[in-house]
Amino acid sequence: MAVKIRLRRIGSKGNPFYRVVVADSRYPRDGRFIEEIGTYNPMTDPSEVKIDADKAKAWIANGAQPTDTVKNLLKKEGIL
Amino acid sequence: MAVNPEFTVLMDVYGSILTQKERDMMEYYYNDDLSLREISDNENIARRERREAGETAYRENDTISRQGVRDTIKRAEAKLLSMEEKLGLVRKNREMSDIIAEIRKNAEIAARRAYQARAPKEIITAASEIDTLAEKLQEYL
Repeated sequence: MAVKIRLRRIGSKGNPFYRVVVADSRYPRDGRFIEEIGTYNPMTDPSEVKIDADKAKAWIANGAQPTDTVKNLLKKEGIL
Repeated sequence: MAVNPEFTVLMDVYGSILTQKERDMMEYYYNDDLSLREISDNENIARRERREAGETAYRENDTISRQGVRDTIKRAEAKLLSMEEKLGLVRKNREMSDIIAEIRKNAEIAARRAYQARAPKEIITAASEIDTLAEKLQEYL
């Protein structure tokens, strides 16, 4: 089973906010994930990204695949 | 870019007009950041499990393709955009939210200035009451 680095939405109605999580590619809805490595707030201007660079790099080195969205955030943060 | 705050907010406001299937797929796509391929794979696994559990809703070859998921999401997006075009609730909420923030800012300035100028107590109380009421309004958005 592929391990992915993806966003998962938390945050109240009308106010999206995301966790950056390392998770299995199946069972997305039950909320299980392996580790949280950051957060992303798209509602602020400019959007606010906090990602633990060391953890992100370590997971990618171990074969975890970031989604396109996460890849963009990692590039923006200069981690990739 | 599968995470688009605009559609996420539209889902919060108008999600209930979508069919269950459209809503599920929109949530997988926009809230869980799944790819179209992952959504179709997960859906097909779920259908197979339901079939094997004796539920007859899905036949042997009744699967959904990546393209099928994409069509469903595009259709759902069009429904949400059309609702917003007709009702404009997201836009109105946003405008109201800005106005309420402005009211609170002014109420705070008024309360502070009134206090500094030793104005009658009713004026200070009235200014903070405006702030409290505006704060209550924010909860309706």
